[in-house]
Amino acid sequence: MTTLANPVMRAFAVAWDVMYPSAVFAGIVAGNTHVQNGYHVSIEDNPAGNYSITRADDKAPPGSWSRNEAAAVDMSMSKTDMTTCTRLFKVVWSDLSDPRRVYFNAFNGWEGSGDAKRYDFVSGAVSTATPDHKTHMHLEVKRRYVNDPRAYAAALSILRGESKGDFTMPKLVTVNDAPTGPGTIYGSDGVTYRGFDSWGHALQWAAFWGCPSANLTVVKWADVPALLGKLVPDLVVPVAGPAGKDGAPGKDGAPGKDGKDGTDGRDGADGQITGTYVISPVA
Amino acid sequence: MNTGICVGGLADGQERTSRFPKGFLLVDKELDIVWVYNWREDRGDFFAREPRGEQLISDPEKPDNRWRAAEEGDYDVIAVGAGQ
Repeated sequence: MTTLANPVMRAFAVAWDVMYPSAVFAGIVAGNTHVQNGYHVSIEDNPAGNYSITRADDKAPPGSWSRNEAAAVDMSMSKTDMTTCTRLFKVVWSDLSDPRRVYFNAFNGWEGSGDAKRYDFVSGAVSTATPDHKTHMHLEVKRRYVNDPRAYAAALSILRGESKGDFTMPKLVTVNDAPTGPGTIYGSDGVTYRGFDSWGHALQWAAFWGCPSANLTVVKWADVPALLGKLVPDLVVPVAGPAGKDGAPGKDGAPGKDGKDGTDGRDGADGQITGTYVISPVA
Repeated sequence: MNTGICVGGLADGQERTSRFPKGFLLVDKELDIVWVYNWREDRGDFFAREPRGEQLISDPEKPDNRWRAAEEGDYDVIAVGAGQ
């Protein structure tokens, strides 16, 4: 058994790292001597009955979500940035009507004085967190949503300081076949586009080159010429492939009497993401 | 967790805690500098590998980059100014 870091969660961590001047990604999967239970550990690696695998949006089975991925991100920041991020999430934690809160289980943060605190979105409780949470913020995503891009769109919205009223879930754009493989660079229009084989790699590249995550987008390769120089503000995330084909019709019944309806064909398998991701660097 | 005094580097004289066994990276992302503090079990302190700091490697394609340090279980990663 093992604990993996979900690539969409990793990409979110990179985006957070880029967003705040002092922020440095401090991990997703528990290290060897870190606490070997909790949201930094997968369902299958957690001891039975652990608090992080018992809530309805965490427990699998009966849930059908990932059992081998961690569900928490650690981000180390200066006191100033910690205070900012903690207060932004605290606003959402205290507002039961904020639609973005549905994706999170809890977070540990610090407002620059006193103890670090743990804020539980599900129970509404606040408690004292361990002192190391003065040096890093710990954000738990409900395991149901670990692979859901909307969870990270919501988190980034909060971190950007958006109000619940300003928040709109980013559009999802279908990715079509790319004419060439990852790493392609188009420079003839003066704007460089680069393809990647994963969303995580795209964000890591963007972070390295200082491209704000807010300017990242996933586009159809056929639409690239129309996007020359255009910066799309939404964070766009991996999408499912196209729907599978319809199942074959059932056979007719025997003549002379009404035949039974044919059995519906099985749904086709989900299409695979065949394109690569394009990002538009800041001009 | 290991807690001890830092010897050398930016955090010289400060008491720090690492959640990981080998020590921690003290990262100044804005200045692109990192201080690698190695835990010394026999002395109960953290010793700076290079007192003046080292070039921070943020390129995920290069070896010894900070993303890798964060994803492995040997060193904690702490931002300059964190907790202070």
